[in-house]
Amino acid sequence: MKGPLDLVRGWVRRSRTKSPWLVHFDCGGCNGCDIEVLDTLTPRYSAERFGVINVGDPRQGDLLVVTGPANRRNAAVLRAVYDQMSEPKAVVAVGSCAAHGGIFRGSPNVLGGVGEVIPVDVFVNGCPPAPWKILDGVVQAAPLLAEARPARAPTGGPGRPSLVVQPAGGRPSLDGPEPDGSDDTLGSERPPLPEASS
Amino acid sequence: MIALDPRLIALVVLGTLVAPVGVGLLLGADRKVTAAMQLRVGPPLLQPLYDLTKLLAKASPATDRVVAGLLAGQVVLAAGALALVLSGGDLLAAVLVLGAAKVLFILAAAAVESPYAQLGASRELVILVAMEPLLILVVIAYAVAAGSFATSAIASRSALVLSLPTLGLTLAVLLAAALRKSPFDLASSHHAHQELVKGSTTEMAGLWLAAAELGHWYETAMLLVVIALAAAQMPLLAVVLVAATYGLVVVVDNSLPRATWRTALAVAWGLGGAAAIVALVTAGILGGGAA
Repeated sequence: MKGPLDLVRGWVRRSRTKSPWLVHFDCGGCNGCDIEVLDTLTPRYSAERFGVINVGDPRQGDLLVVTGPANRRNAAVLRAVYDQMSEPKAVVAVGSCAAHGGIFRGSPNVLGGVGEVIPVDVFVNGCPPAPWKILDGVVQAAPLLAEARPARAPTGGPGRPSLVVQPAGGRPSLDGPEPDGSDDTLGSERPPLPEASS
Repeated sequence: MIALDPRLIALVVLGTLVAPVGVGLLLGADRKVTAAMQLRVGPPLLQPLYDLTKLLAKASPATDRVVAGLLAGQVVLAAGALALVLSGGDLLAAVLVLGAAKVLFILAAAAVESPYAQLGASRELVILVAMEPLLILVVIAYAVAAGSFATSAIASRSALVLSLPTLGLTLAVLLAAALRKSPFDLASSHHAHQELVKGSTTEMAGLWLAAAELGHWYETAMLLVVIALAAAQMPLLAVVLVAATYGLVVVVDNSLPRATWRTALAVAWGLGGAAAIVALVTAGILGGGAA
């Protein structure tokens, strides 16, 4: 038996998942992913059919779309943008760099993927990913906006890159042996996080 | 005397509560039509209502108390203006109350530090300057034709737009301004038509952005009622007039992106103003005998 309160709750949940407003943040990769993100928002891919609007103010946004590797220079900024967004919110990491640092991994100033700094919900793989894959990632993240969630710790990377968009839930070990028995070519040394206040 | 009629009270309360839902659906249809014109699928019809509900239900960040008060005030004033019209009250008073609501919104936009919000607020002022004289001219034209400023008297006049056809043009300009369609999308826009997309609403979020939006919806509802008044006593003509005005506005919006505030003023005062004055003169000649 559904009361009127349940109907209201259902409407609110539905509204939240149907209205993902994007905040696009570039951590500083090669900008290839940023071009693809902007491409995703053009009429050709019709992102508006999912209720997507690109907003400039983190406080107005629901989905944080991050590209590029987390680095010492902007870790605090990325964290601040994430913290300024109010619940319910979710994070989509777009591209190889945002997943694990990409070609910049191992550089002295690079911390790795954005998952080192903030909790990531969906990783979109590719270098750069095609616009429809980014849109697929956004659509996968939208249901996570139904309810406000408790604060989460940074999730780390997605594990071994796969060819499909994958939710971050089951995170294969980045440091463990690979399925084919070879060494992890990405390397597992990570520099420590910088102080957020610096 | 009129306020004591329980049916009228029910109409006013219900109308004021239901108006945002109606405007939300209309804006949803607007986005669908716009998307179709750009060969896109477009969002669901309920999208504006989804957006508003989401904003209302979002954990709202702390906002300046003055801004919060101003935004709440503009919703109350805009809803009050609509209620005043629905109750058959003074149309001129309702238009001025709506103007006060818009001034509160401009103050709220200007009260924050973001330069984008302040630029948006100053452009919102340009829109107000473009719009308000026209709105008052329209109301005066109605009053001259009907012999009274009371909405009930104007509503009892049959189809003013047939005797004052140029008024339709002024009403279309006014609707474009109320909907912030091009060339009136200078201060804040839902589309990327303009270089300033979230000007006046830059620093509003969550509940307070919803309040700004709701006030804007009431403004739109009020304008639609003013348009429908031009075809009072002829419901079918009223629907056709509202639909035709809306259609014209959507077409112009899609074919005239990136207009500047100079275009806005030229369109409003040049086109809308001239049409309103022609209507006023016509009303003076035609309505003189009736009044």
